[in-house]
Amino acid sequence: MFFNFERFYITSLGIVFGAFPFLLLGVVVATAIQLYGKKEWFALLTRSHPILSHLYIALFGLFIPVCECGNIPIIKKLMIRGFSLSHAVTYLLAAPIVNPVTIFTTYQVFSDYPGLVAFRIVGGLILSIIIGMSFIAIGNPRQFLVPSLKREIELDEESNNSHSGHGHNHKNKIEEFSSHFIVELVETFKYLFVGSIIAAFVQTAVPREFFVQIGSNPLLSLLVMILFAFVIAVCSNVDAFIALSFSNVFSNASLLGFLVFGPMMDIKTVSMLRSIFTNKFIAMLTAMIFTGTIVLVYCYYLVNLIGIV
Amino acid sequence: MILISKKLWYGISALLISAITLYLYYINKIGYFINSNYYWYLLVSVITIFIFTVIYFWYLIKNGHKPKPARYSQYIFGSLLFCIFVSLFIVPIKPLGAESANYAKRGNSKKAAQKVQYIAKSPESISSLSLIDWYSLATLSPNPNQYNGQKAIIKGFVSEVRDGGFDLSQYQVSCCVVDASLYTIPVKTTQKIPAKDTWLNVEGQFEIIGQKPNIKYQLNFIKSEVIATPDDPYKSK
Repeated sequence: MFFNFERFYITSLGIVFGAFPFLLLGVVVATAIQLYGKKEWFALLTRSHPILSHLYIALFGLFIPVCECGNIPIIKKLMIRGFSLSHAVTYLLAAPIVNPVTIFTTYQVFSDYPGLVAFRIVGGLILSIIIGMSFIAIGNPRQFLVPSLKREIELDEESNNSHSGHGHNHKNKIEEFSSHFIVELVETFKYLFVGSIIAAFVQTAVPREFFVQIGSNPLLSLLVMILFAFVIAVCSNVDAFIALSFSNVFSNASLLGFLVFGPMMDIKTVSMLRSIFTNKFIAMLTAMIFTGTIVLVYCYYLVNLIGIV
Repeated sequence: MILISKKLWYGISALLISAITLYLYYINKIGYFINSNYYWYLLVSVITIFIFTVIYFWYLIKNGHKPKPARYSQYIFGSLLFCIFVSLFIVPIKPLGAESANYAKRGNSKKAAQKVQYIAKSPESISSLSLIDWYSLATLSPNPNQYNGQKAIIKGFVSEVRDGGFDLSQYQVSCCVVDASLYTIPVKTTQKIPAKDTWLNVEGQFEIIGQKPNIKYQLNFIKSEVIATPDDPYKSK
């Protein structure tokens, strides 16, 4: 049977339910940033030396245990609160990898391969910083933002300039929080929902064996695992378990490709990022992550070859 | 003409999101989608959303609002959510079963290996082993032959039917169904075999065939009992 509707139905809702608690945590943090976050606080982080500021922001994920879905609303609010494009991208890519749950599960699953764990966590962190910093020199970063976010940033700047707050000081705190929370939740959920449907569709239409068959070639296996990470759209907190199940078929280098690329970009994330960035920017970012992952995996391969790890 | 205002649309969407999840809890089928360890996280999340939605509506009614029309994309998303909600009453909700076996990865869990070490230390617990435990014993234990002839009562669903037997299987998930692993044990029998996806408690004798690394295993059927689909079908025991 080509398409199993029951599997599609249960997988699409399963992805949504699996991501839900993390998304909620992300929305709560985002709402708190929007309502209580002061630009000056974030300026402390972003105004230091460029490399240091990007490192601090990349390590921010250590304190917020949300995976890629939960980060999207946070990034949106951080950008409104003065994060530059380079800082936002660094946080977006690093946070799902350095989050404590991801580190724990990766170590638990691959404790026999400390090199693989180190390359995933430290390598992923460095890659995030490099990709993020490559946007420092961009002349007009707002060209990559969707019009609605551009408007929000402009409105925030105007309200700051006129010292009139957000224009809703007459509201009480609970009303304000619930209003922001619900709007943010539904807006983010919309993209998660669409992404989950696409991911479930691809997984239902393409059997897993297909990936295994075309991945028998060493070079092809890396590309297959990256492609697999993109379509499976599994949470970074548990993707190490998925990688483990392929350990008898694919090389560790290919698994590293899966473990680094997946948390940074997948079908679901692409859908959710469309609430922040233009399609052109998402395509460019995906290409950069893809190239960076290939380079990182190659470094791992070389290090293995000379027997360091 | 404003069919529904933007603010109202946000509230209704949030309400539908809560309703879909809470309904699945109510009919005890949330376990078909996620690992049972996530039950509480998800429940707390959805109750939080529900409470904020009620507060949101309270202030919306109390203060009133200037109606702005919702966008077309919002209508489409709202309709999709509504369709999902209605589908819960129409589409038969079943856990992953035999049809999904081609799409799932085969079990190879490190946790299973740890379980084997535990079982080896306390062999008296052997009677309470799950299908996943037996799979682990057969494939990961250093000396699986010691379990030859052991009596086992294993719960699972029929995933494959063939001459002289069937495959009894169970899925295990780490987070949600997207990461499901399939564990299977072949059952040898001459009895009438139930249809695919039927859940059974099968009693039989565990048998190891061959030597490592080409080790195979099976359960020699003694008797079986048809059971209802469990509320948490992916839970090991």
